[in-house]
Amino acid sequence: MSLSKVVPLITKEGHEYLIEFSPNPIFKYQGKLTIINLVITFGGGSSEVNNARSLFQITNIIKQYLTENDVVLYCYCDEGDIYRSKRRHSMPPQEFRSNLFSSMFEKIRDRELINEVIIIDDPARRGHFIHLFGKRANQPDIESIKSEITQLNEK
Amino acid sequence: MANKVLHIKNPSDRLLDLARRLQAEKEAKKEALIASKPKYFNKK
Repeated sequence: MSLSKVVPLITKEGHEYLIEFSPNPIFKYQGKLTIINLVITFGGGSSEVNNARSLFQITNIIKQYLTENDVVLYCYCDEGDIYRSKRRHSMPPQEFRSNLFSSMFEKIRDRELINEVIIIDDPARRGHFIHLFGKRANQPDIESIKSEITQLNEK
Repeated sequence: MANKVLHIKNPSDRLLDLARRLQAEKEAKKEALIASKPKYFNKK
């Protein structure tokens, strides 16, 4: 079965999302699992508006993919505009997205899934936020990926 | 589900290069997906 997949989602509010899973050529690590790039795009309007229901639907799509495929997902949180409240407006979009991801996964309360975050400081870009998602049973592979990243930092 | 965070505060040039390549990859993929939107959403 192909690991590449695009899932279209239209929320009750009529917002259109495309959720893409595709094998990633950038990460290299010693483990056996395929690393899959998770990309979520909002297909309408100048900036995304999210509510809990939409986020729950997106999270369930990700969870279903992980159920069907024994892989590690990574998601790079990009800088694209995203609606944030006044209180959070000074937060970089990528950090806000990262916080949203973490909240989404906390809410589904699935002990069989793990979500680990890598933050790389970069004053030129206000930081890079990368999430690694996978089954708890594959935590050693996620640790291996993180270890490879840490080693890159030491060279 | 607990989130574990690895925070790298003084990244090496190699690591910054990786991060920026991931950023570029993400932006390219988002653009490609948005361009392909008509394939997935048929407006009547």
